[in-house]
Amino acid sequence: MVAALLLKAGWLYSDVIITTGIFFILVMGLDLLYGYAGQLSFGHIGFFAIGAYTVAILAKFAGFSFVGGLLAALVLNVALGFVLGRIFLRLSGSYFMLGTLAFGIMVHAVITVWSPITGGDAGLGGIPRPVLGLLPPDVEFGVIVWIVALILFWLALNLAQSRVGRAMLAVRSDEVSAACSGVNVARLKTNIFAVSAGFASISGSLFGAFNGAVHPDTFSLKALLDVLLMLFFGGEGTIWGGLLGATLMRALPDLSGPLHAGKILFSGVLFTVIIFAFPRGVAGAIAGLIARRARGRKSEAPPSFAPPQAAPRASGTSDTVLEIQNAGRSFGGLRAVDAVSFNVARGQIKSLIGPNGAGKSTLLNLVSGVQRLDDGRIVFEGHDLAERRSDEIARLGIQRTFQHERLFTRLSVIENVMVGCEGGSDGSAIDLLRCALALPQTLRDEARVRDEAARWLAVIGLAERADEPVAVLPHGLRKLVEVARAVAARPGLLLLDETAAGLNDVEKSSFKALIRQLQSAGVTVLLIEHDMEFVMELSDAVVVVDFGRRIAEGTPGEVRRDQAVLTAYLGA
Amino acid sequence: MSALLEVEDLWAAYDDAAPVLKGISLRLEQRELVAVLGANGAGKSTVLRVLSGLLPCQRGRVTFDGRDITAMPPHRRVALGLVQVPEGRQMLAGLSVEENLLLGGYVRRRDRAELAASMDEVYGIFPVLKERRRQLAGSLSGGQQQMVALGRALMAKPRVLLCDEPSLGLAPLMVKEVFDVIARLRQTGLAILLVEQNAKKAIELADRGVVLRSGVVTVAGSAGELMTSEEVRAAYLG
Repeated sequence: MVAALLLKAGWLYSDVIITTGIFFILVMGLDLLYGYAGQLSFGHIGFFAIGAYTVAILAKFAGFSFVGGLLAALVLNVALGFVLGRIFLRLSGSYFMLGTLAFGIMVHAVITVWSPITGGDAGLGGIPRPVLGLLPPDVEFGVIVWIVALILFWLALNLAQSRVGRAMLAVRSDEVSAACSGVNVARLKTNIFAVSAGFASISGSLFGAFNGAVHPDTFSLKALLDVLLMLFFGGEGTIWGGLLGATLMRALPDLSGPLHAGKILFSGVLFTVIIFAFPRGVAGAIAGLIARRARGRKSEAPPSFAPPQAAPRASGTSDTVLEIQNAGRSFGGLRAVDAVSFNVARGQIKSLIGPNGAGKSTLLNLVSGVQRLDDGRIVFEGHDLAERRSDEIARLGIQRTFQHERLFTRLSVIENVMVGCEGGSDGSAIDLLRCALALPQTLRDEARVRDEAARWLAVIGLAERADEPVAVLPHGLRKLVEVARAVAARPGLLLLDETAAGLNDVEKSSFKALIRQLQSAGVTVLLIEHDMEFVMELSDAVVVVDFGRRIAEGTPGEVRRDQAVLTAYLGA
Repeated sequence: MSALLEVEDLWAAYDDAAPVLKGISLRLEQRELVAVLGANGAGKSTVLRVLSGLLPCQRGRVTFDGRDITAMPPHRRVALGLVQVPEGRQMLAGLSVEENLLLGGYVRRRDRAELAASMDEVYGIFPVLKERRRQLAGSLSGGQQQMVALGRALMAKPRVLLCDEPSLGLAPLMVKEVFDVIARLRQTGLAILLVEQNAKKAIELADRGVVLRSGVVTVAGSAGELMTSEEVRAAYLG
């Protein structure tokens, strides 16, 4: 019976195969943008439409060939994606989605209304197909579509599994700590938006050529729903999930026969079922199974254990690493940091102590660019930090941990540390290209970084848990992973915000040993901690703040005897 | 006479990973304070999560006041008087201090008069919260947030308090204050299960204690016995 069905509708199945390839390309682009960088766009149906219409219009009015039209559309869409990305990505979450949705609707309105050029409701015909003349025309077009799809698949998969893929997942997990690890968040998101617009454009041009004509109906919100279904059914965050989604959505209407009439209803029901049955899509469920099996295996110890390199990548020559001069910052009426000045000398371990709410964490936020200075100056190795973003500060050589740990929950333990080792990604087009092409150098770097990260995990005693998701680690160990992520970047200055809180006495003493080891490798440390025994034993110098002001500074012994400190903080 | 809270042969795991708890048994009598010690990853917080019903157990039995609550959902356990003070305080940062407290009493929401009385009691224990009752909980300092977390739990009128690292991230003066409050609460007749990294402080405060290692109880005994136990001294007291 199946054979009879196949025979009866043979021509149709070749159409299904072609359109599956075409939509696979569109969904891959969306998956890079959402599944990795975490930005869900409702506007890519607009780039898709522009891809199709550009080929049609250029063929009709300027006599362009298919390839010429496709390239022109690609340039136009990538440029448009770059500009729109810069605008839309200033919006967060649901506002970003609404912005992109508005763009999709506008494109639809323009192609419907601008009839002299787009043909309006009647659409445009006469779109040429690419012809090589090597195979029968129908078969040849299908082969071309799939060659293009597979090349793009290879590029997208390389990108997703590279440092850029990790940087994108870091951004999706936590933009603040991604920036502090050296990821240029805004540029990366914008460039990925432009790349995904490019995927949509190529897909749209092929779709136009496949139909031979374009018509506004094909690019309506109904089409958008189909595409989103492909993404979520297939499984976001896998790239290859798009293939499953596209296959199902293109094949189903033809297989389902009578149900086809109620397709929108059918899609709606399917969407609901998918979200409940496969929250991460079919590909997500399969990937989960594979990961579970891999976790069952005992992970091998790194082949040759050697302590990782901890010396700072770059260091200056003056005695002072960090100068804080009259730093001030207010929140509403609250003066969180009020004219605080102190220096951190090269190679020093300096502690910042004071009551809860005294402004200690705000100070670290000011140094790492998470919050802006209202007044005063912060200078690191001769660079004024006032106007710099967190990722620039990270690249200058400052790394930090957070009071409430901010690991990348979408990455495994070792991948978190790898982001530290490679310093995130500057998000530039060059970096994207290098990773997408999987150049030999890139692959060598990947292996080196993984090896280095494994050695850092061995140092903090977590080699065995390298491939686990960070969420299953207990609080104290998550904080240690955050330390590994920070020191793996080989910073000149390391900022630690209450890392020892949540460690017991034995764990604290090995942590102390680690900090001393870093110090002898040339790392300067500024840390916040409440455990006085820990602070007094480890620190070369201590700064005490209360109500946003510096109330004392000196050696541990001096501070311990200071009357103001005793009343405000230590208790007599 | 059975214990107020009794745990027998508890096994639990996150997702499909290896089990974190491998057969834990412990008991908590009326008016007793039991400290749970152990390294990071030993399973301390997991025990509390299973007890409050946030994580289902794979095997074992939890009895509260003679009643089997192994499969009971978290909100009903709170109504019975088994209340957790979560690690890291878990403020509802966008709500005021008073709203946070009121939510703590949600299981008793029909009893307005009594709820108001509990609120006064909580303000009696933490006067600073009364001063700041209109302030957003997220804008408080760490120590004050810990007070809100404790106060919120008290609003449910607990019989057993499950405290997960109440001293985490607090300044020395605050640590002292929080432990003082716990000691006072215990004198009012509450039974408390206390998870702490600060082993010395916890043992000083406790009647009894257990030490977990890799999901099993390795030492159990009175506070005095723990203080002198070689294993505890070597591993947790430094």
